[in-house]
Amino acid sequence: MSTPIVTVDDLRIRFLTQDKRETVKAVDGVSFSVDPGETFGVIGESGSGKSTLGRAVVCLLKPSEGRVLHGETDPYMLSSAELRQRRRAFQIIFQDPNAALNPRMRIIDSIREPLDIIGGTSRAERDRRAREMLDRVGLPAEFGARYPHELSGGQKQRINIARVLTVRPSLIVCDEVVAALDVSIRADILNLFADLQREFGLTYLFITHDLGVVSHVSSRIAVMYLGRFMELGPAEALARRPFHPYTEALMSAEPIPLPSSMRETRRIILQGEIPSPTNPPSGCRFRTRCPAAADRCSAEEPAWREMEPGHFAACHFAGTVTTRLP
Amino acid sequence: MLELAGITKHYRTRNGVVRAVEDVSFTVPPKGTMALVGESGCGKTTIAKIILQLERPISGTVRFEGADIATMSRAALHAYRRQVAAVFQDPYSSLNPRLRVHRIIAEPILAHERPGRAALDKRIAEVLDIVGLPATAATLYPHEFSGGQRQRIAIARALALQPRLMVLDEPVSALDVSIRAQVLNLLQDIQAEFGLTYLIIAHDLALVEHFSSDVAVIYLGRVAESGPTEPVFANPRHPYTQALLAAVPLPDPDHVLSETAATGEIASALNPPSGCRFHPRCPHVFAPCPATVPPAYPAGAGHHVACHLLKDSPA
Ligand SMILES: Nc1ncnc2c1ncn2[C@@H]1O[C@H](COP(=O)(O)OP(=O)(O)OP(=O)(O)O)[C@@H](O)[C@H]1O
Ligand SMILES: Nc1ncnc2c1ncn2[C@@H]1O[C@H](COP(=O)(O)OP(=O)(O)OP(=O)(O)O)[C@@H](O)[C@H]1O
Ligand code: SF4
Ligand SMILES: [Mg+2]
Ligand SMILES: [Mg+2]
Repeated sequence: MSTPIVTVDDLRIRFLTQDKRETVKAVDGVSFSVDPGETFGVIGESGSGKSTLGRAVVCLLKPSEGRVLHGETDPYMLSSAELRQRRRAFQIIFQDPNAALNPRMRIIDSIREPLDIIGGTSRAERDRRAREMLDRVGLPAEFGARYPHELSGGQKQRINIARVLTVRPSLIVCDEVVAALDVSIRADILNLFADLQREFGLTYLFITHDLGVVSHVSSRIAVMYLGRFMELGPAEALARRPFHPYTEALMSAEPIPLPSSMRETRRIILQGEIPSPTNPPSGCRFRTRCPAAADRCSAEEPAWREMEPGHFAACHFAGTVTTRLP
Repeated sequence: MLELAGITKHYRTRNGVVRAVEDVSFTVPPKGTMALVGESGCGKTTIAKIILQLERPISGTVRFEGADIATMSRAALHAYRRQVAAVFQDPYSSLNPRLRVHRIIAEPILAHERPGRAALDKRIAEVLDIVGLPATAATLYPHEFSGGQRQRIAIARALALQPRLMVLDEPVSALDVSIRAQVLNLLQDIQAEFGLTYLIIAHDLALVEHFSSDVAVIYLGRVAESGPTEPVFANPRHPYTQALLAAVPLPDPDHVLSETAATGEIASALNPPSGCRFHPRCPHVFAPCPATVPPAYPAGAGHHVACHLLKDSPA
């Protein structure tokens, strides 16, 4: 077994709100590791802490507690020059397509910029690679001369993807990279990710709220809820036989909105809102929405148990209950 | 309610003219939900911006309840802006990072009315609740929220205006299925209660099928097919609509990313194909297609199809 490319060890990230009155526990004790060349998927509802986790993995957020290792090194033990060097190998494609695009820079210069910073290649070679990537994300060469405001939402997101892919970093955190894309372009982009993975051995941490996307691209999937993992396992096994009631609820969530007249008959499995990460429920944090919750769930935090080789779940009744209604 | 006729918008770039929107016409019925669908870059946001007067068309008219918005008096225009609210595609740059959520939601309200402090706070708490955020969210800044939470703040801001027409550009793309269904159900309830009209842009076709009453399928800036959602989805007549619907992801994970039936390169709005803009990718292309732009042939009640195949085989 080779050394994991990233190891996350009991990571906790807390934010103090602007008014300093509350502490948000955005990531609250997460451990996992990502192997070289794999695609590790993270799914979870809005606000569950996925982006926060992704940013911590590429050292854009410092752990409040716990550690993130890049290979065998703790990046925070490095000098700032070394850290900068290392960050290049660990990149993120942001959920917000504007975050990495300078509005005053032409598209082709934005795509080439990371290569310019790294240096070591001729300008002609860097230009060639930037143009090639523009083509591979399905945009005509003419787009290189435009500015970000002259692009549609989906086009901007593709530039964002191209910019990071030119660098061929060892690990890329992909934060909702295809949410803004329609199905046909989405398929092209996911194929591009797969091709580059094969060509250059890239590793991806794939963050999304879309179960269809994550189960299609990932080798392993972690299911996040209120800052913690509820389940982690091989993609196929997790989709076929989830152990955690939350995963099961996510799987059976009806992707189709219904008019109110039809709603009584609908199986609403995930009732209510996610509780606030400021003050997560005692015991199992999913218990307030869990159809299988029992007394024990509020009293005792469920252990992280290995149910099958490499397949973990944090539920007192993992695998013994089924929440699916008839 | 809202009527677009012959709307055309071109952008000048260093490499020539981008024909983003070309001769687009459609009508949004009162209390209806009109969906615009089509591939990335086909002109959906541009159409929304024209309706919101953020862009000026080079030709064509937008009529709101019969009145041309380009020639409205200042007072009428002020009234129009009061009645039309928008949720922009980009939930990041549409929220001012230096303002608390309370101010962000209050500002558009205060541009038009003077509610008392208590009434304003109540309204803000109400719309936050509708989108599933706690009232305490009002005291925070945009960067303190996740992507999906910001999208919900943008929806809350539009709802707070109590508009009559809402333009929603990809309003739920950052939301997971459970919260997405909640938000859409609430939008439908509000529509039923207050008689709102929606224009929604979405790339999720399952959502469009269930949420909209009418649909316009856009291909490279032109309307390929339009009409009531049900017949268009049940019996698509334009080869592009047929290809688009064939690419709908099926629940089976093995087919989630089934390829679109449309083949070939995505043509560019900078240099759109002659005649029917879809002809280089169309499996049924024949003689008239590269030569002439197909008119919108009627294909049943309110259903129009811009394809030469319809010429000899009407509804
Ligand atoms: N800078 C911050 N200050 C305070 N709270 C924050 C900050 N950043 C994130 N949060 C909070 O931390 C939680 C997790 O946020 P995060 O952005 O990681 O969610 P997410 O899983 O990526 O959600 P989404 O799918 O909506 O993007 C949320 O409740 C959010 O409001
Ligand atoms: N200011 C501009 N200057 C030049 N071209 C532009 C400008 N704004 C948009 N375009 C181009 O016009 C076309 C239509 O853009 P629009 O934003 O309307 O697309 P869209 O259908 O909303 O796509 P998406 O689903 O990706 O958001 C695109 O090809 C885009 O590149
Ligand atoms: S531990 Fe209890 S509350 Fe938590 S998921 Fe399992 S059954 Fe539900
Ligand atoms: Mg996020
Ligand atoms: Mg758009």
